[in-house]
Amino acid sequence: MTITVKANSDQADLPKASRANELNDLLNLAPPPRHAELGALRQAARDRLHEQTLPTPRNEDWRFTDLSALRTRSFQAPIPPLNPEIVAEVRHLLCERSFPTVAQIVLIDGYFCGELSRVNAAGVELLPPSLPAIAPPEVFSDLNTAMLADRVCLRLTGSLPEPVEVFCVSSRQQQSVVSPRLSVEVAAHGQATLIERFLSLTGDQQFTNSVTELSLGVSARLRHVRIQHQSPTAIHMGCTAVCQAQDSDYEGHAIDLGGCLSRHNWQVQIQGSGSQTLLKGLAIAMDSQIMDTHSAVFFNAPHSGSEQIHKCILGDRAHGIFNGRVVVPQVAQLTDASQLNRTLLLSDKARVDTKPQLEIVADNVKCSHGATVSQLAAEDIFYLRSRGLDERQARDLLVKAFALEQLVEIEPDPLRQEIEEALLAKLH
Amino acid sequence: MIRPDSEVILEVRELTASVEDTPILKGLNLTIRAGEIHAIMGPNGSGKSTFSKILAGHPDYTVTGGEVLYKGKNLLDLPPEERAREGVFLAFQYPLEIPGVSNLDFLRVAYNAKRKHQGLDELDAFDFDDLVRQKIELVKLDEGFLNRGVNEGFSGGEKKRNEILQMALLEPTLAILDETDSGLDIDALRIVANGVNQLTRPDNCILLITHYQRLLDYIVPDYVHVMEGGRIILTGSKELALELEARGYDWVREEEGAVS
Repeated sequence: MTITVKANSDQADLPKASRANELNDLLNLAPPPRHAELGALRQAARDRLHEQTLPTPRNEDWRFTDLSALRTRSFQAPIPPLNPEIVAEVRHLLCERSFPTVAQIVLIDGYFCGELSRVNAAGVELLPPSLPAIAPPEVFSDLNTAMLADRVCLRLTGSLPEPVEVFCVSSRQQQSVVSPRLSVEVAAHGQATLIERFLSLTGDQQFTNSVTELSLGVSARLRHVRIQHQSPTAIHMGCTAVCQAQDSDYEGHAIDLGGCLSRHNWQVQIQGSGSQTLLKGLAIAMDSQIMDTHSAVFFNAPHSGSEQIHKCILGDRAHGIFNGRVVVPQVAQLTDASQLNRTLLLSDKARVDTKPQLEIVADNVKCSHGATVSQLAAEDIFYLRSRGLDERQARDLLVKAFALEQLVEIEPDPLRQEIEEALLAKLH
Repeated sequence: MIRPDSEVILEVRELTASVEDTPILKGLNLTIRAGEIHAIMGPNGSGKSTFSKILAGHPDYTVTGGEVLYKGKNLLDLPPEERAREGVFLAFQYPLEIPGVSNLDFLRVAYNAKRKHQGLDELDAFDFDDLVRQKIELVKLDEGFLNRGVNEGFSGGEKKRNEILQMALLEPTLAILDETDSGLDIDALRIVANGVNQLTRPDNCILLITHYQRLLDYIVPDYVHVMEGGRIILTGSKELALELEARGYDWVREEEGAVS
């Protein structure tokens, strides 16, 4: 008997041993850790991956997400540490942005860049890489942990007057795997805004596999804006793991713009009662971008609530995926959870797969979900054109209106305007 | 106001049109000169609204024959936005709600599209604000409506007043009011009619499309046309509207049948 190995999409039919090799090939690209403390963490993840393979469409969680872009790209060597040319280019990239922040953290290719970072404000403390890891045991999170070069740990205390801004920039040093890792603890009663951006230097063809861990103490409040705007050739897998203590309040805004293949795995563990979670996502995909958001909110205590609105704007041959899991076990009585996914298709070839996944055991809860898919209404466009707007102006106005709900709460204003401009730039 | 020597704004000759292969207009003729107010009346399904949408350039309707000249040029060649910038305005029977688009932004973009077309500088947000606050007086809408989404949650009457506000800003040469009186109570009807009357000038013209004579008490037409089966079958003065109100449409059909 002979086994024929076909290219790309039939990888699912590879024997398990071959698929394990794919993972090993990636693991072999792990750069040496910058801190000795990371050794044990990396090894534990490596051990967990021992039995794992890269997911295939047969895996329910990956049914709709075509990973062939990742499978077919050849990665060459471990990502090299920072060089001055790259740092200078990133410095140039950052100076275009302007609103006040209390601290700026810059990671380039997963390495903390002290030269471009600024961490000296009251209430912002850079810790050794020792915070407990709360990322879920999932293949890409484990891959991040197993391949860590660096880990930035921050503790935010008190009420911070301005945002903390984090830049994760992928360079084009070579085709390799970048594993940025950021862990933030908001102390009890603390209030902070975290702006996290994933960017690329032009020509980035790397695989950015990031993990961000956000831990909220009792009565802590965190506003989190995550913007994934990597180059159209980048591959991005990002995990945001949130852990909320009693009476905490997490408000997350995730904007996805870049990458040829991207997935945001957004996981919230509610550990104490009286917590509130708001998840607002906006994915804008054009060309043949594949953009996936998998979210999960786990209620592990009673009397908490979550609200989620996820919107996709899909044009050309783009493929959007949304899977929203809400888990309400017996202990989580009086949970109030709502979820809505709305998709706007701008072309006949764009496609969305959307799936709410409510797992409710508790009997005294309020949980709702819904999904809509629509196109721009011809009548709306005609109305605007009959008032002198050309077709492009009319469509822009209507798409902006669709996105508005997801942007209106984003602060500061220059950041929101920047996102609006990036959105419109993508449409043309 | 009828002045036989005034400029012809709209000239419609033997217009035929269909929607999804169903013929709706079957040889419509109409001439409107500057300064005139025309009313088209007629039973449901006679093609009145189709005609108004064709003039504005609605993509669902296909013109199959005849011609429409606007200020001497072929109107049917122009896309809807060009028609609007050249001064054609359709007040919609059912104005659309567009949540998320602020009414003020919408009005400014529309106003500036026309300014640009005329080779004038676009108005900035500040100057436009002054202008719109002055125009809004005309339709007695609260300024709060400017900051809401376009027609979002507006009552029927408020939507119609918002249409007239757009008309006031865009200062059309040919304004087509498609059943602007439908769904209005008597006070709103007076406000809308008063607004329209204040916008009439010797160099523009108005085409009213209506079912009822009531509107014509407030906006007095120079000509009343009866439309039936996709054509204008009778034209008269404003007294014709009163006769239609009293006698219905059947006698017009009979007379037309007798003539032809």
